[in-house]
Amino acid sequence: MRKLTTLLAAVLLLFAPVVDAQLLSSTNIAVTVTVSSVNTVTLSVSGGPLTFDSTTGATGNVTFNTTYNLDGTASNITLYTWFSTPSAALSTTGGGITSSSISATFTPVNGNFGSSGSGQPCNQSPAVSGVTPGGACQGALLINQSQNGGAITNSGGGGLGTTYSLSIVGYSGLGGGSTLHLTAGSYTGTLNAMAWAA
Amino acid sequence: MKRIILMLAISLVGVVAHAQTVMPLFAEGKTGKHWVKGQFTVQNQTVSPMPVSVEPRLMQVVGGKATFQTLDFNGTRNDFERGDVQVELKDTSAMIAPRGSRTFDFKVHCDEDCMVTFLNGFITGRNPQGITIKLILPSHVYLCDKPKGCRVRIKAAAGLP
Repeated sequence: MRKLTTLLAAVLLLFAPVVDAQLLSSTNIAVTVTVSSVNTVTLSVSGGPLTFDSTTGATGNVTFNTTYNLDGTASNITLYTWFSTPSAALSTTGGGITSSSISATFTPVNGNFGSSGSGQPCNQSPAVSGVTPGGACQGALLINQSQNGGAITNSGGGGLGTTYSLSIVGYSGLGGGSTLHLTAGSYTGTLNAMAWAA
Repeated sequence: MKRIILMLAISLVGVVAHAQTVMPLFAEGKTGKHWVKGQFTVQNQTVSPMPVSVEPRLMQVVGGKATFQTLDFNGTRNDFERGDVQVELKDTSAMIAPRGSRTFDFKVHCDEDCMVTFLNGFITGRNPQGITIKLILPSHVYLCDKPKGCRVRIKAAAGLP
């Protein structure tokens, strides 16, 4: 009897009517989606090292590159460089070089953007160290609104940068004629480089 | 095979690029008795750990030129001060993992219009024979009695671009 009941139940399941599933949907609900993107700037450096050549009084090149994602509130991106201690920008045992005796030379990586500069001593403003202004090298413009054809609102950069080097002002070699006599030795110092989207 | 060897050769002699990102670039707030709280984030774009240092500076106009002054650390209150400007910065340095980021919290208080800049910097590599380069990306905080347009007014007054 039990076997018959089980068999009957199995047969009934085989021939059970198919019930189509129904999709029940609720009313639509509006959900606000917010995506925030903040202003960002990236700065990188490659190449070098910045080591002064005793015959030329100049260093080799480094390349500063920047990428950005801006919303149009910044009108330009400028690279500012300065020495931590202007009175002893470079130092060696028994001597030193002030920042005002050093100048920066820079040329844009992409000729359509940025600015070139050379020869100005590193005693410019904005200064970052000390009370008295001075200690910064000439600022290197990387991009401005005019070059960008309008407000700087999109992500960009990559090829936006400047080839940069330093030289000693009035350096004419180690012999006579040089306006700056250097004490023999290895000169070391720290160059600060800041990309400012202003 | 030749292409693989060429790619390896290029990777071995390629120059090393050190890079970091900071966000946001600036914040605006109101002067007064209440402190303005905020934060900024520094990202390490490289595949190596990156130590970063954070230094608060106060922008002042000296001799008609913008100068970023250092702030004195008050060990008792654990904040940085100069005049009526006070800055609380919980962490002044960090080690950021490869491709990672670190957020720094701060509080700033000024009685009058002020501009505080956090200089986020890292050394790209020690150069015993020449100049060491320190890359810096700033994050600025502008506080004014009237926050709207604060940044533009302060920059214009200081002759900043």
